[in-house]
Amino acid sequence: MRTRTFLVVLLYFISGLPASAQLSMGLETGMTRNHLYTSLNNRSNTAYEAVNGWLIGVPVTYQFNSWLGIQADPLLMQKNYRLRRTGYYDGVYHQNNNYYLKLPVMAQLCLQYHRLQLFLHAGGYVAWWMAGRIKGVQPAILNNADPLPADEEPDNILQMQQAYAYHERYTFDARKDRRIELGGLAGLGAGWQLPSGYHLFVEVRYCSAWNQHQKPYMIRQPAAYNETLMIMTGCRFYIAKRKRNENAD
Amino acid sequence: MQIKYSGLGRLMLTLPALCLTLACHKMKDEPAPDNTADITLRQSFESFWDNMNRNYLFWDIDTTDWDLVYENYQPLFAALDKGNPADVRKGYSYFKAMTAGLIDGHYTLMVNHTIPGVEDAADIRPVEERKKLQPGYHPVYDYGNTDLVYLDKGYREALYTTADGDAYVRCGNIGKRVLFLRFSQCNLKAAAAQLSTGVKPVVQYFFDQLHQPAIKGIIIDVRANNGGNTEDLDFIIGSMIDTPLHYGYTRLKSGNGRLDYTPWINAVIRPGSEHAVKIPIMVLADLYSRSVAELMTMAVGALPNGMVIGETTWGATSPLAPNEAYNGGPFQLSAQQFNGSLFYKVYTSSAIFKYKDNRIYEDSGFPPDILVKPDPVAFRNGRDMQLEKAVSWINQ
Repeated sequence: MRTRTFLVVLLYFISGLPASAQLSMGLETGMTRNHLYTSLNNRSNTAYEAVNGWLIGVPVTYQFNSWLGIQADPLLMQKNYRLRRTGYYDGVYHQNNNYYLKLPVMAQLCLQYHRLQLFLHAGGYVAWWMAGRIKGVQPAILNNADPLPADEEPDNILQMQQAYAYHERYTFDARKDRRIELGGLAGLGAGWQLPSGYHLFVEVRYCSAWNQHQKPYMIRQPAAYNETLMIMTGCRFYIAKRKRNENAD
Repeated sequence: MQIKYSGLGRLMLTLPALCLTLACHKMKDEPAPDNTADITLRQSFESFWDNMNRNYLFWDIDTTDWDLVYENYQPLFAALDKGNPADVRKGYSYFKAMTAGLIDGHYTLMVNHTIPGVEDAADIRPVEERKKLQPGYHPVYDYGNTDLVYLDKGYREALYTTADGDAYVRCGNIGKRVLFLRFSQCNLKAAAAQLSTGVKPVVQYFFDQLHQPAIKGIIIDVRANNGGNTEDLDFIIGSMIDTPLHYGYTRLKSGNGRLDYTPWINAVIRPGSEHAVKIPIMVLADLYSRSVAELMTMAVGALPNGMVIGETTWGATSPLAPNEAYNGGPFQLSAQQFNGSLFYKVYTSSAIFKYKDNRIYEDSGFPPDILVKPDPVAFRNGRDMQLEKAVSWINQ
């Protein structure tokens, strides 16, 4: 439903716009900060935390005119999140590092002042889960920790049970894991046109998943969505320019 | 210029619409604990079903279709009247039916006996109900008096009381060559720390005898032992090894989803001796060797010089701890919810255990190396055929 709405709106304002067109592409890199948006109100001393990751991409921009364009920047990126215990369980955590191939497609609205450009992005994306790793520390329920001195009381579970640390590849579970993620995005950025023709830019972008990161495999399944903040910087260069005479038609 | 404003105007109108395609997640909050007093039978069922959904560890391998349970039983509970004892009894039978296939050997649904209609209803234990129907099921044989016939004079013994009831530990020699240790609960370390129990001198005798040259074999008897504290794994088995003993793995919940698990975590017994026991170590186990007693059985089976004699154990191999510790396992209602709920607590494992051979023996039980079935005739005549087999194995 959201995808159709997005496409209809996009086509509406793209239709019938004459332009002097410019095609550019480049390279970008940056960091991600992803949060798994879900509810844990049935668990004590437990919370999901946002985790940083990285991204690398190839932005391809088609500029219709000086203020409007469309951009797609295929990305390889991380969407990570962590489940952390607190209080008496401090030190216990389980983290998922997920690698996605992502294709955002967005409208670009620009304001140009000499060499400075400010831009807004709004659009959607499709992402494909490629791989994942899990890492964490858990109390090994059957492995007792070294006994404390007689006059000491434990103030952490890892003083009672040995800590077990792991960092390993995650195996995709077709029963519950979802490969394809769809979502919407909005971004705000600035760019600087160099005399050489290269265009440097920096952007802050927010992405929000429309579908959950797991398939619906159980009744009353806890809802969980990825929400990602991205900060990226890069460089574009023009590979084609076309000016159309406004009076030609 | 006119065209530009037209295009820009369209965009200014449509950009907010584009942004609205971003998230407003239709997220349904996890159901918060129902703290209303005097809940209905339907609410009792809903609370039970939700908690099982999030806290039961065996959904990965249990064949019970929990979604189908909800679809079938939710309307049935909705039609029940808590004020009618016959309806309450019917609700009890529904709980019994929906849990009949669960594989957790520890699983117990504790009934709220204050509700009219179930005052005399037994707690629900699905594994026990199934085992009663299996061939080979037998009552508990208490070898507490029988093994006295075999022990040399001078054995040590302690009788004491714990939160789980009366307990005892006995240690002595058989024919001077065999060291024998029997205990009814796995809480020896904690009991030994309390001098009033008298346990310390008994276990100390065991430790002192382990490396005596005259001793040619060790028998640890965990028959009819319901388990207890995992500390006893290091305390007893650890006293016989000088390197860590890896005997299996555990797995915990990593989220609220039914299939959210941590990776498998090595289960290791820590060495407590400078020198490993090299002589044969036998463990006697039977149908009523449960929980930590089963883990002890499996740990001995993992020793290069270990052997299990007797019959297949109960099948309650996975450990328990408070729900908050591992975000899974046992759950109970709040004081407010208690009033009117058909159940008040569910006792279930906090982790799954699998043996070093990568098999899960939950429900099925751990099989012996040498099968010796209980012999009721011999037992009535004061003979312990399983113990005799273990002794003859050591002496041959």
